[in-house]
Amino acid sequence: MPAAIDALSMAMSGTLLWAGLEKCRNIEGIAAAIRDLGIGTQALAIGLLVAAVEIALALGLIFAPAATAVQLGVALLAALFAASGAWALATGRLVRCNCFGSTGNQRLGAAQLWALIPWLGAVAILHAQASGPASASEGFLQLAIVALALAGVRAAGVVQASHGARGDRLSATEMLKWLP
Amino acid sequence: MVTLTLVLIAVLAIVNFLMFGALVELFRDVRQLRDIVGVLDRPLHLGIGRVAGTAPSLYGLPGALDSANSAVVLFLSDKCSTCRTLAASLEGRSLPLGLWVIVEAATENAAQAFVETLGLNTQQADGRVLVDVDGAIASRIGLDTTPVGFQITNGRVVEATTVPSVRYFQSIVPTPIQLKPALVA
Repeated sequence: MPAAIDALSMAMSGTLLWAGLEKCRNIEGIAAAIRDLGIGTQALAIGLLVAAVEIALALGLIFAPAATAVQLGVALLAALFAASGAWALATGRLVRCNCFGSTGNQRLGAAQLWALIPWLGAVAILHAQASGPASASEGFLQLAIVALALAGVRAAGVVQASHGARGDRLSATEMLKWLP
Repeated sequence: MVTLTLVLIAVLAIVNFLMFGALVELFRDVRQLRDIVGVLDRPLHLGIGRVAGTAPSLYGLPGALDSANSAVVLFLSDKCSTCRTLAASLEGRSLPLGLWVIVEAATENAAQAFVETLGLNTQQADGRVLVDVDGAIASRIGLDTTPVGFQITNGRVVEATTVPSVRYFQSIVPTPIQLKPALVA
């Protein structure tokens, strides 16, 4: 059971770490989403804050998943995203989510509302079962596993994109011969 | 020491994650630029409507296609440059099994000239390179663009796509899998 709880907290941590790092890589994306929600002032600062909170909670889920502050933080963040989705739906705003970076085309809306359920469920499980890593080394091991998993998933995307680019390059060689 | 190593691994993995993300974006930028120039190796699916699920012979295509498990019918025109490139890729070698080529041209002579210029006449002998004078077959299908590949599965027309490059063309040509001859004891 503790292994399953560790896996759950690592999965949650990975999700938040991905979202936070991607937002840091292109902070303008989340700032634009915040502006589109109608919060014009300090959009950039709020975006940075959201990214920082996500990363902090990701680390918290690894090193102190049993901490009330971490669990409360995750629940509040999920609620905040759900509220943003509900606000976008209610006001009819078409807001690009930029939840996991600016590469996707997802829009804020029902997905964030539905996501609230598994997030709250996971927090409830952590609240009931989590005890946290036995030592700092174990925590860093879990963090390394999460980070390697993120890099691995991204690497798969790079390989896929490079295959596509290679195909385009090979066909371009012949296409350029007949293009006007 | 172990902790320090784990920290380093985590940090390096995160750096890799960020750099891979930048790389994916670069690939997307390149694809966007290629899209603007129109040099993407991307076939377009054609809506074949009523033709889907029908027998190829209904449109004047060879009756042998009606019993083909898997085949591709490639429509080429003597006026299209890509068609010439595709046809040239077949020059000097036998036509792959499962591939049928229909050459559209305004006249019989123009079609034969296309076939001969690109060396398809040697493959014409087995009847898998056909001439469609004045687009008679194409008009029955409702086809007004080339080069286009029609996929035939179990004797029925399944789908059609444009064929933008030799590379894509080679990827859609079916590779028949045959049973090995029985060993007689």
